[in-house]
Amino acid sequence: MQMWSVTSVVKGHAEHFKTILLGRVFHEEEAVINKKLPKELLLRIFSYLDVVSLCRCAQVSKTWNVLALDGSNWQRIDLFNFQTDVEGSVIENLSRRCGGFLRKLSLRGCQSVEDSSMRTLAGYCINVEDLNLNGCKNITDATCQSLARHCKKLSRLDLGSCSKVTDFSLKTLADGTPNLTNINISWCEAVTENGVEALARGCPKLKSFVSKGCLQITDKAISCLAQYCPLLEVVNLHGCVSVEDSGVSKLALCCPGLHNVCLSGCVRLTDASLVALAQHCHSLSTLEVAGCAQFTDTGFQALARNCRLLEKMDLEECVLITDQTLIHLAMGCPRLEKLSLSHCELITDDGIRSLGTSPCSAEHLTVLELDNCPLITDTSLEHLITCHNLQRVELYDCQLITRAGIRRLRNHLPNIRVHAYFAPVTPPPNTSGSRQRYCRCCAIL
Amino acid sequence: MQEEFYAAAEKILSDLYNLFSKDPKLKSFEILPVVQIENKSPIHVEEHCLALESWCVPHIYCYAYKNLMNHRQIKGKLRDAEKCNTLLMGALLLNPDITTFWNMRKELIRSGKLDPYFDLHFTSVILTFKPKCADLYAFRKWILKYLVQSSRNNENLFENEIQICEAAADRYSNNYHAWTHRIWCLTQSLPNSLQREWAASMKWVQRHVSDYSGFHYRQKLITFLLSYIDSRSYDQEVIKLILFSVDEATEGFLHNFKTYELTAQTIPLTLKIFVYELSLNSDLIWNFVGHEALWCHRRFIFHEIKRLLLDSNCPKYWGRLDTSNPADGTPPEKTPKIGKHSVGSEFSLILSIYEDMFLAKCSDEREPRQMFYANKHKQWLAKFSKFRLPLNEDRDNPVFRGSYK
Repeated sequence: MQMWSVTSVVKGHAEHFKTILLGRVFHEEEAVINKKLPKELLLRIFSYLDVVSLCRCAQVSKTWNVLALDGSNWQRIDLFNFQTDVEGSVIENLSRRCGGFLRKLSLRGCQSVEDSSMRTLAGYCINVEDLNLNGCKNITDATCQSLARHCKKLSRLDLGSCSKVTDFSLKTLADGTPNLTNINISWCEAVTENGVEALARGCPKLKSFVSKGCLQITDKAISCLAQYCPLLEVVNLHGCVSVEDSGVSKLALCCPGLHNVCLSGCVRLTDASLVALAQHCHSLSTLEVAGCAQFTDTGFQALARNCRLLEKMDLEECVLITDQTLIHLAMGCPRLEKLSLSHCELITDDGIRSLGTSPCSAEHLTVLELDNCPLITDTSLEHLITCHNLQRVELYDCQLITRAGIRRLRNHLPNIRVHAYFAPVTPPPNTSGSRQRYCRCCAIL
Repeated sequence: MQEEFYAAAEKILSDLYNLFSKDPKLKSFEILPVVQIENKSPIHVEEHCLALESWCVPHIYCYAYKNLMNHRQIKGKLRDAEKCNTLLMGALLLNPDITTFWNMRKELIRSGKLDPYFDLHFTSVILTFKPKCADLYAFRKWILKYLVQSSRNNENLFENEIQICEAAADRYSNNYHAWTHRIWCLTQSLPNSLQREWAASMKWVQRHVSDYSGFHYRQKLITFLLSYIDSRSYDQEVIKLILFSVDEATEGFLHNFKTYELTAQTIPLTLKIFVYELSLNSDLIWNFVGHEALWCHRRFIFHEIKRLLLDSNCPKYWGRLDTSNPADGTPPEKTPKIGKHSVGSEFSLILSIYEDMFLAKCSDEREPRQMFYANKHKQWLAKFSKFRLPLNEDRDNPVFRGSYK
């Protein structure tokens, strides 16, 4: 009767539900709700329920079972909460039920999913558009092969941490799924420039490309992406250490629509990359360059002058930047919301002052991370008083910051969260106890 | 204000977690008594030694404890394993005496979300901070059992474990838990470890004369050795060095009693082990005056010798010296009493002479403590063990009359 057992908890509830319902009516045909409402309406109601409720309903009666398990209710499924229970048979039953209805499926973290069940899924659910396989470590190229063969409509695919996936997968995807717009191949360490090149050639509609920690992705791969996928908006190359300036420059040149770029940990990049981004990508809103230690004020000056829409910037460990960068950002980027300057050891109070006095950023700035900036003092905190929207300030390891400074800031911005290593002060002992000079028995006497 | 610090507590905890996962060589943990002055990270790492400043300890512990207790309310599947792991590490590092938290770690290991080898390292670091934590040893035992079920190179595993026990015993004297754990490890790696442990424990007791836990371990070791020898299928190679040293000690012991017919060859191996142990103990008592643990161990030796002498289960050791009476074909099983001319009787006589000399030597007026223990021992011998001291009664014994002057 049941389609699959999602959890025993679900089952328990359903049993309870069932006994109540069957206790009142002997035959399900007599159940009032089934009499009054046509099946179409019941189906419509079910379409608003989540996975757990649907499974519960499916165990109420035969009629409801059919209705609740109707494929049309199962267009978007997220099984993340049941990851340990999701075995191959679950996927196979699911694909048979849903068939062409399935649009979106998330199997994030379902480690026991294997190629054979994914092959069944691809065969039945040919209309799937959004598939999340992040962390399904057992799937291999075979899965991608069957997806590419059957699911022509696939537009979003997340293969993060599927470490058995290789270049071959990307090649077959390039051939079979030309509509792909979003792909995530983070931590697929076997993927090289060849795979990315094939993907770029086959999927010109690509908007988002995420490849964190793919050490074998080189400049050539990035150049190909730039060349064949001009619509790219989101590029995340976190930790792709072999990427160099030429690749990033080409990317900036060819993809003017880029608005979200992460180059954290690409240690070979220099100011040239920043300048190229500044020249061509004016709609840039998020830039993460943590650990790019060769970036200097010059690069950020160019960036601040041209990319006025910047909202989030992560400059952690850009150790060469000074107050100049902050001055330019304060002038050029009025929408700045989140700024991380962790480990930027040359930043001083002056930089923070320009940030605090720039009227626009003061309006938007919500998060400021200054941990491990050893030159920051309480004066900086006073400059931040004007930032009315400020919600969080990180001050870990800023050794010149004192409790008093933080207290002053908090007096002006009562809702702010200041993160520092100061332990809470234990409240001073109650001084009203002066009458207790004598012990109780003496007082009685 | 307490809640304010939680973000920092979380950061400190995750820093600790990162330290452990990045530095597999981390070897010790300590809490530094520091009053907070600056806005500075309380974590210190110096040459793979980890330390935490004391001011943050209560806050971090409260944070971790509170969160973990909340975490337990959440039903299994929605738990965030990594967060749980981080909190558990913090809480257990500061207070490893909470069984519940160790059980939560077991759950994590069993569900494959935590590497058991990582935890072996993690707990070995805690041991440097609290070397006498029973829960921790129980947990390690669990991990080892878990690993033995699934892996191959167990020998190395227990060898390593024994070293960790030794380090813990070094850090905390009379560390009963560590030694009990070591006994368990020993039973897991018998008999190959016998010889190594024989030498190691000898070294240990020579350096820690008042640590009775160490002696207790040696007693267990001797028991295991005896049962290994008793198993009759024993391999001479495995305990070659022990046999050699034991023989040597027996020769030395008998050197003073040349007039007797007893030789090292006629004394059974099991008894020789105790002869060796006895001479070692005598040396220690003589060199390190006034340690009760040494005298207690001596009692064990005599107790065991007596048991061996009376043991009817191993008659083959007690072949009669006096072969003039071959008619007596019945095996000595039926006669647990020590025969007059057996090896046993002769040995017990020599032993009582030896002991008498030794006690006389120890009864030195200038060392009241030593004298006290010697007297106690004498009383004990007279009362519990039937070794009669020859000076008092046995003068008419012909064997005795010929030798002792």
